Amino acid sequence: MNLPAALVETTLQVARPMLVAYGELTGDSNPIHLDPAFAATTAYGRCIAHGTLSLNALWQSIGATFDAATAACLDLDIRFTAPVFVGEVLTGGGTLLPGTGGRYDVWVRAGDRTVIAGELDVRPPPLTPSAPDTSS
Amino acid sequence: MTTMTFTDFVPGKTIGHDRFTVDAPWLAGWATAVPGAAPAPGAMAMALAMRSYLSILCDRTPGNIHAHQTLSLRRPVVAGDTVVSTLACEHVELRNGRRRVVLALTAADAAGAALYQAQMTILWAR
Repeated sequence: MNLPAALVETTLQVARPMLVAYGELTGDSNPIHLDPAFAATTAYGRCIAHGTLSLNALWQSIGATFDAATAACLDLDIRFTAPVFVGEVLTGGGTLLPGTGGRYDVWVRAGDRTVIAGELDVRPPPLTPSAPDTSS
Repeated sequence: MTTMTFTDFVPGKTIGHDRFTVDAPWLAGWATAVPGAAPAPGAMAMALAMRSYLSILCDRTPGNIHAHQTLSLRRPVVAGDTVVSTLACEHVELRNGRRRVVLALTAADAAGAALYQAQMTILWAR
C-alpha cells in the first residue's frame, strides 16, 4: 500500500446547531454542551463541543486522504487534550511515522492549541473474494 | 435506576447491551451535526459507539470527562444495519484523586459479524 507522508488537512468550524444535532444523534444531553446558562457556571464558562464531534475534523482529513476501502479499515487511538468552544475553527491532520508501515501521528487543532492528539494505524483493506474466471 | 458511581464498576463485568437500527431519520441528522460531509465510516462508528454507551449507561454522575478513546473499524456501518452493542467495564483505577473507568464496547451486525470495537476512558466524577 502506497501511503502519503501526511494527511490532507481539513477544517471544520464548530457552530451551536452542530452541538444540538450531535447531541441528538448520540443521545448526549449533557448541559455542558447544550445549556449556556449551565455552562457559565462551570470552569469552562461556556458550552464546549462533544469531543467526538470535534473528532470529525480528523475523520474528514482521513476521508480526504485515503480511498473508501482504506478509510473503512483502521485503528484510532486518541486523547482529548483541551476543550473546544463554539465558533472555533478546527483543523485535522497528521504525519506518517517513519518505519511504522502505516502509523500516523494525528491531531485536531484549534488555532495553535492541540485539542485532540493520538495515532492512526492504517491497515490494508481485507481481501475480497475474486470473481470466478469465466473468460475460458 | 440508581446513578452509576465509580465504586459500582467491576472490571470484567458486562454492563449492558444495546440494539439500534441505523435509519433514515438518524442519518438525516448528520447534515446539521457535521455540515458539508457524508459521514465517514469512522465518524459514523464513533457516533454510534457514543450513542450505545450513553444508552446503556443512561444514569451517569454529572461532571464526567471523556479523556481517551480508541476505535477499531472492521466494516462500515450502512443504512439499515442493526448494530448490536455490548458494553463492559475493562479497568478501574483511582490515582491522584482521579477515578479512571475504562469501558470496552463491541459492536456487531444482526448476523453477529464484527463492525467495530471501541474503548473509552472516562474520568468519573464521583
